Amino acid sequence: MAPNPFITFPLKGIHITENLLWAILGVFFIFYCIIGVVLLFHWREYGLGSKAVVFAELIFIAVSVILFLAASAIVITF
Amino acid sequence: MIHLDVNEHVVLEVRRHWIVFFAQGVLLLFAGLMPVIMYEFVTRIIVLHIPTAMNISLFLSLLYILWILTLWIIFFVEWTRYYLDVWYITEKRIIDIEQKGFFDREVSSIRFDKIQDITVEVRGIIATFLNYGNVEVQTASESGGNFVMKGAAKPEVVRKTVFSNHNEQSERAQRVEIIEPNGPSILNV
Repeated sequence: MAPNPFITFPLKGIHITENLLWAILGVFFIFYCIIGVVLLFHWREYGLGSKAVVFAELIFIAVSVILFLAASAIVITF
Repeated sequence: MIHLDVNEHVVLEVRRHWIVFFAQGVLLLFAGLMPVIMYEFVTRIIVLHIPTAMNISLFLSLLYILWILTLWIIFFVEWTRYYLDVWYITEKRIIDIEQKGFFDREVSSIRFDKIQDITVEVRGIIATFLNYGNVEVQTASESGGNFVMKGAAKPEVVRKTVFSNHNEQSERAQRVEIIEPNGPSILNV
C-alpha cells in the first residue's frame, strides 16, 4: 500500500500558527491590491465609462471582499 | 483614451466573440474545481486517510480560498485584455487598439480612403452558428500594416459598416469651383 503523504502533515519543523496565517494572508492581500489598482487604472482610463466596465468593477470588488472576509474568518477561527 | 475629431462618433465597437473569452473562463472554472476533485479522489478512490483535525482542515480551506482569489484575479486580467482589445469604427476611420498586456497598448488608425479591401473569414460549424470569424482590413498605407482581428463577433456587420462608410466617404459630393472668364460658378460633383 502507498505511504500516506498526509501522515507527516504539517511538515516537520514548520508549525502553523495564527500569526503565520495572518502573514500569508497579508502578503496575498498586498499582491491583490497591486493587481487590483492596475486593473482599476486600466478600466477607468481606457474603458470609456462603459456599463460593462462599471459592472466588472462592482463584481470584482464585491466577490473579493467576500473571499477576503471568509479567509479572515478562517484565520480567526484557527 | 481615444481622441476623436469634432463631429466624429463611434459607429461600431468590434471585439472578439465572447466564446473566445468563454473558453478561458471554462479553463479557470476547471482550475477552481480541481482541488476539490483531487481531494475527493485522494480520500475516496485511493482511500488515504487525511487527518481531519480542525486546524488542518481550516488551513486547507484557507489555501483553497487564496487559490480561488488567484483565479478570480486571473479571470479579470484576461477579461481586461479581451475587453480593451477593440476596434472603434467611426464615420471617418477605424481605430485599432491592441491591448497586449498591462501598460502595453498599441493604438493605430486608418482613414477609409486608405482602405483597399476587407476580407472576412468564417471557418467551421461553431464559427458559422455563433457568427464570428477573422476580419482583415487591407490598407494602402506606407507602413503596409493590415488591420486583423481574429475571432471578431459579427464579421459581416463589420464588413458592411466599413464598406458603407468607405462608400459614403468616396461618393460624398464635393464643392468644386470652376473659374470661368465671366466669373466663378460652383458645381456639385
